[in-house]
Amino acid sequence: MSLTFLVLSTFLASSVESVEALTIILATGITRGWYSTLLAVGAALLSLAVLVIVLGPAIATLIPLSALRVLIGVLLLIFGLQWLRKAVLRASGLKSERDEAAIYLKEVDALQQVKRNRVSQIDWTGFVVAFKGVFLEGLEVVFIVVTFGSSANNIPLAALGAGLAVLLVTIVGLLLHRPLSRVPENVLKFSVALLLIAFGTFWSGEGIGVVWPGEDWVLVGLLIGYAAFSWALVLFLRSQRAYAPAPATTMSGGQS
Amino acid sequence: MKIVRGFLTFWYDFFIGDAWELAAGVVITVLIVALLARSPLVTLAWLVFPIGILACLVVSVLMVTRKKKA
Repeated sequence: MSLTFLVLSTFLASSVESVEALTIILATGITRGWYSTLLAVGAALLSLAVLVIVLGPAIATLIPLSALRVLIGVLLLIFGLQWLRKAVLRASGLKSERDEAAIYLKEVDALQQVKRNRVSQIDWTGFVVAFKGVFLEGLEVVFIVVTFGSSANNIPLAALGAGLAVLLVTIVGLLLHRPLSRVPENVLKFSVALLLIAFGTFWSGEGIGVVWPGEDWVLVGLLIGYAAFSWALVLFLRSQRAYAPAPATTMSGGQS
Repeated sequence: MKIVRGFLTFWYDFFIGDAWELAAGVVITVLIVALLARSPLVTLAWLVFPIGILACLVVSVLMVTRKKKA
């Protein structure tokens, strides 16, 4: 393996993993708040650094990546489905406005509590989702560096390729987070739920031995398929409500 | 005892919340797909997985609509 090819290979492979991590970070940060998300990113990177320092190049053989993928994938699926269920119910008008008002009051109350205690400011759901995403993808980047670097007998150069990829993706993330913040909240929550489910399906599938057609590209197909089905479900529920005797509520269906 | 119960309640609420059927459905789907991936029907596993996940969503949403109607 030539040195240029080594840097290019680790750069490209790490870019794919970094983009996946960035997607989770942006989605969690915009919907659940940046404080908890950035704290999770820092914690995940610190955990990875400790793992790399303690285990060294043996990390690629010592960590059961498949088991980790299943665990993280299943958790993402559970969180994602919970979010998607709520988003579908809201979009179809089945989640009442009174619930929204109650949530608003709860959030205000929570924020007031936060002023008294900094620790309670952490949104644990956001923290866990962001931590898992960054930790798993980061671990995969480490594996890429170790496997590519070991085969070319040059781990520092492989790390350089991966480092450049992470740097580039971080810059893209910094540029993207502001425009994304302007997207309506309901649309974001719907989208984030779909992303979590797509990633959860993909990762847990890989962990249990599913052979995905198109490898990483299947993520796009999963996302489109889940989005189309969820929207069809919203339309079905709306049509059912049209025949219901109760008066229609003014839910933000069009926003999702 | 109170601490243990509080600890377990926290994690139950955190992971399962008010939709136990979603967590149960995901675990059952993953188990079925894992079995499929180790059987001669391995090529079907990738297709069955998302269908199972969508079925979980539909069941959970229908449970909510039924509850509202009752």
